[in-house]
Amino acid sequence: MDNRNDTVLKQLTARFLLIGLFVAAVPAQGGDSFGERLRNLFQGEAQSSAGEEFLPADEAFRFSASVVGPDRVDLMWRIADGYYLYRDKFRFRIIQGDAGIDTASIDIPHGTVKSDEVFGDVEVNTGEVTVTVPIHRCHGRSDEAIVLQVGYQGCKEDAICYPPVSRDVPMILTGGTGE
Amino acid sequence: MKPAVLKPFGLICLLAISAGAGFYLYQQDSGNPRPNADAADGERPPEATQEAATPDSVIGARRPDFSLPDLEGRERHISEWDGNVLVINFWATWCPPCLKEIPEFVELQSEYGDQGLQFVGIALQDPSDVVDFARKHGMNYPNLVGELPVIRIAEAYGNNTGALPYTTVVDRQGTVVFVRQGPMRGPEVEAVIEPLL
Repeated sequence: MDNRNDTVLKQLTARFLLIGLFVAAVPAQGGDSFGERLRNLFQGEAQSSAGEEFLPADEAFRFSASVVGPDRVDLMWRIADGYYLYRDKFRFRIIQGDAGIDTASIDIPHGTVKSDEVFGDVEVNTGEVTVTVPIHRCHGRSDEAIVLQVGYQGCKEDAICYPPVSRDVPMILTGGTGE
Repeated sequence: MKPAVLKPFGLICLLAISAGAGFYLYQQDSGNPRPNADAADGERPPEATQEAATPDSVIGARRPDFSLPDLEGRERHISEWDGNVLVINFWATWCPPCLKEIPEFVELQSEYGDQGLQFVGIALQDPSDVVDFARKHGMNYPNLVGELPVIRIAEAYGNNTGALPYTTVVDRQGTVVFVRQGPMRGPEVEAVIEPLL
């Protein structure tokens, strides 16, 4: 019996590794036309007439996602120096698949409070940010294909701000009960 | 008991199924229009440009044509202001650096308006978000609004990062003579427009 459990555990581990590789290999999609347009715009790099260079959003906020369990997804942003993401602008929702998210249970790391002349005190994240999103699966299927839509927005300090970015992350959650 | 040789096939099958499912999702995702509150219903984007414009490529070129609704919902065409020195400012109320520019733009419009200076604000958002701000801050120049169409227009004017603020200056002949990604202070704008007036 122990051997059987050990084999099942190994198989599940292998599957998670594979799914992790798969998720990493499939770029997050800006699924709607608005998001696609934004993403296309962000391919380039602009130089102001004053000579200051700004990164496209994809480089200012490097985003990745990985499945870390049957009902958990880790989302990570590597934020370039001088840039920040608004802590209250992160958005998460399931747009495809039989699953849901209790957004209130998502723990977004606290950042620093920035005093803005226009908006007052706002909390912003810099550096690396990892957010674990718990997924509530509606069925006990062993494999569940879902699409998680992630939104975020940020700026470069005292210079420019990016429109809200929307990314669609397709993934397959494994390890259900198989019922 | 399964023969050991079957184990690698199991893994390969799993990988193939995963890849297939992922490709299916990718196709579904990229091929279908998506319901999204951000999408602006009924707005008509301008014609797509052949190649993505850059700030450098638009300098010296004829200003791209476009029309957008103003805050009252009336369609306005950019040619309406031909013959003026145009400062086209792409902005949004969610963009703090944009908001800091506006009081100085309002002052410049008052000071140079009778000499032929015309600011045109283009806000990347829903008009309902702009109306109160424009009124509260005494914006004395027209504001045009939209979402996807504004993105397309900004791109046509060389904004290849999509970030705001983004400002272009067009001379009286309709030629783009200046582009700035990032904020502009009043004196910087004056230095650009004075020789053109």
